[in-house]
Amino acid sequence: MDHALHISPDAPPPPSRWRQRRLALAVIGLFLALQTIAGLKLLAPSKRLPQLAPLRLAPNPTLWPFLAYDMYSDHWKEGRAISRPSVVGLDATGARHTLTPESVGLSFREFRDQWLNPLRGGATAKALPLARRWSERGGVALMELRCEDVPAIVVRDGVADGERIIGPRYPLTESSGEAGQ
Amino acid sequence: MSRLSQFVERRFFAAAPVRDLAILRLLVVGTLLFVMLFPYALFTFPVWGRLDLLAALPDSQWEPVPIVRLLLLPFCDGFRPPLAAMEWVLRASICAGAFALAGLFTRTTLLLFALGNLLISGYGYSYHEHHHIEALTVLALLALAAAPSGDALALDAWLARRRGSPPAAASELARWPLELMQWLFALCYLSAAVCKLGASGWQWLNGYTLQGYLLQEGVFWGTSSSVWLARHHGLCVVLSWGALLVELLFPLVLWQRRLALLFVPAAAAIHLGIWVTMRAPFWLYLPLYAVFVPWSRLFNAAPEIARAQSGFRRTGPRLQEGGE
Repeated sequence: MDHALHISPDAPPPPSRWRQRRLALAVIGLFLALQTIAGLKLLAPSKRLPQLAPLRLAPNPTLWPFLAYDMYSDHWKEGRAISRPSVVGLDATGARHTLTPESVGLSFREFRDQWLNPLRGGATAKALPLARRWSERGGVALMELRCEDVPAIVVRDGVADGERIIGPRYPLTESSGEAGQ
Repeated sequence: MSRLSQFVERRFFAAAPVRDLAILRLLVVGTLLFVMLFPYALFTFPVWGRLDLLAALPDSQWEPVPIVRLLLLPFCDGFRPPLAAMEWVLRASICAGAFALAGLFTRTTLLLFALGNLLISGYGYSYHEHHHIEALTVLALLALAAAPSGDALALDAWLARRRGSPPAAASELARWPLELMQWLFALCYLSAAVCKLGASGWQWLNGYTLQGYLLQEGVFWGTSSSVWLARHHGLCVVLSWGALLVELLFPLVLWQRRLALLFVPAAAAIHLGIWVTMRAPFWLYLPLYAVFVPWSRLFNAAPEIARAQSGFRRTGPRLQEGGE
């Protein structure tokens, strides 16, 4: 029988293979031990147990690439809300127009990262260019942009709308845009 | 011999075809090479594509994970490699990966490929943010580097045959990386279940939890599918139970191999669902599931099945004739 086909646990492998087997055993033992420690948080007890704080030696990602797979592990209760921000424009008649990524010719991420979030943070210079983008794509002229948040509330029937929260307002005049630019 | 060593011997060092190991090498290295060369094809924030952004962060945010600190210790403790150095590591890793894929100097190039990715991914996670997507792949590469992964489907094997010393078709060292990855998969899924139950108890299954995460990610990524799903509380309860049961019971595949037919597609479906609704890209797990597939047995069975089918085609009409 070819020595490579050794299967009997009683017949030892040839000496040339011992080193490789020892290496393999070391890798197996180390990997399984570290993944068990990291995965079951044996050295990272919850912060809610302050009496075990001294044992909190290896929270994620200390042992990386050995990790606890603890993403999305907290629970939600009925009634919890999450922020759902948007940009709304008001035209001369006072009518409301929600500016979506598609309506201003942007991808969702571009819109969120380069326009929505800065406007929520008070970036005045972003208001006029965004309103112009919207108008150029068939929208009417806007007199004001404002950030709004209608939180989504998790309920048994699905999702309910929370109370509208009005954020920063940006009256649109030529000077407001140029000042920021 | 103790029971433990008999168990280890039987599970990890029983003779196995080297071709199974080589198939894992081709799948894992090939997929990782692809995402290193085209980082944004499958990922939104791939570490391989944003080294420049990470390097631009202030030194105050640099807190190397211990393995990165260890790898960089020869330079000095806490050393933060400059962008140019990390880009060279990336290029060198891609070269090593190409050699490992072809199976040339397989062990050395696999080790270099593994260490390069350990450093690159670890570097990405040394700025107070970490993810889980590459961890198992890096561990698989390290295990493959310590095994005869180039004894089949590799230039090394071809060159050895030309020299008149072909590698054996089976080896007692060809099984342990596959077995080890199965155990690591089981531990990871168990970790996911234990973390959920530990942090939330059975309340994690209340349906609102999944609704909430779906909404949160749906609003963040702009995915309509997750917002749609979040509106269906009952469905979220059922999916929560399904996900937790798969994670909790996945380790059963270690004792009852046939359960892999149930749990591996179920786990893959969970990851696919998470990608569609929450944009969490666990694509690198897909080639790793190859450790649950008995490739050689499938390849060996294929001709027998074909023979049986052709035999049926030959004998079928005769039987009918006989019946008439």
